[in-house]
Amino acid sequence: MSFHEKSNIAMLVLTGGVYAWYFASTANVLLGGSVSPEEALELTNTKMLVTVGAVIIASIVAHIALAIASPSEAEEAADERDRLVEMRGDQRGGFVLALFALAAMASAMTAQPYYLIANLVLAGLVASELVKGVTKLIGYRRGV
Amino acid sequence: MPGFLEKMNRSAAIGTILALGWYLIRVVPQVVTHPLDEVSWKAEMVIAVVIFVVTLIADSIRAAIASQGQLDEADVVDDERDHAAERRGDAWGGHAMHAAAFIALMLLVFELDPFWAANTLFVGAMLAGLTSILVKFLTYRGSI
Repeated sequence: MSFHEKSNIAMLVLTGGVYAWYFASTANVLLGGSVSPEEALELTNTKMLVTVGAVIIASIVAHIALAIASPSEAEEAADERDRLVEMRGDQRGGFVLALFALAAMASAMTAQPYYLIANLVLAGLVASELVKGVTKLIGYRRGV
Repeated sequence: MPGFLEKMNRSAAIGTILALGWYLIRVVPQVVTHPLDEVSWKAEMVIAVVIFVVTLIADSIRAAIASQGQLDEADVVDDERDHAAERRGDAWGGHAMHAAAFIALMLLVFELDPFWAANTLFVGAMLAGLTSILVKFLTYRGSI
């Protein structure tokens, strides 16, 4: 397994894990309407910023660990296969994000609360990263 | 001689430029002269999407009629070069869309009016489309 493939799996697990926790812990706020829109925005904003920071720090730590575990692989430049896998992942991730962006624009047009629009955009970014990661995983395993 | 999909790419470029141009001409002067809640942008956004779709369909039909002989001769619509251009263009467009979505998310987190987030997503999506088209064009020309 190449460094790029391991890196992809690490990012997939991290993003999936952190945002599964985020959406599970805010589901009652986002769907139930148990708090006021202002409180919901404040609550989700704080968690959102914490999760972004957590993913950045965890990904740096994971990549350092991967590089220490196999230093020769970490120094290898991306080859033609890596680039193809990457592009296909970016392509499919982009489509998913565009769909969520459309939903977010529709929400803004219909004057939905800020926190709902913000979480739709965040869900789009997360979903596109997950689709990108899974597409890359399939690309590495089955070929492009 | 450009292939059919390259001509479709040009149709998408014309549609995007017309739609985005029309939208900006209609909305930007209002943003400068009116308070934000008096700016009319929702209908303009829908009309811009209609302009894009109608232009894309009309110019694609025109290109299909003009390329009929070429399509019959080749017996295929897309080849490996088309796939490469498509993948690379969409991947770059996806990166641009990610940037726009992240900016929109930050605008919402910092509680700016949803007008700004919706317009960042809309203009960002149009610019991401143009980025994708430009990268596809350059790939067809062999520049990248």
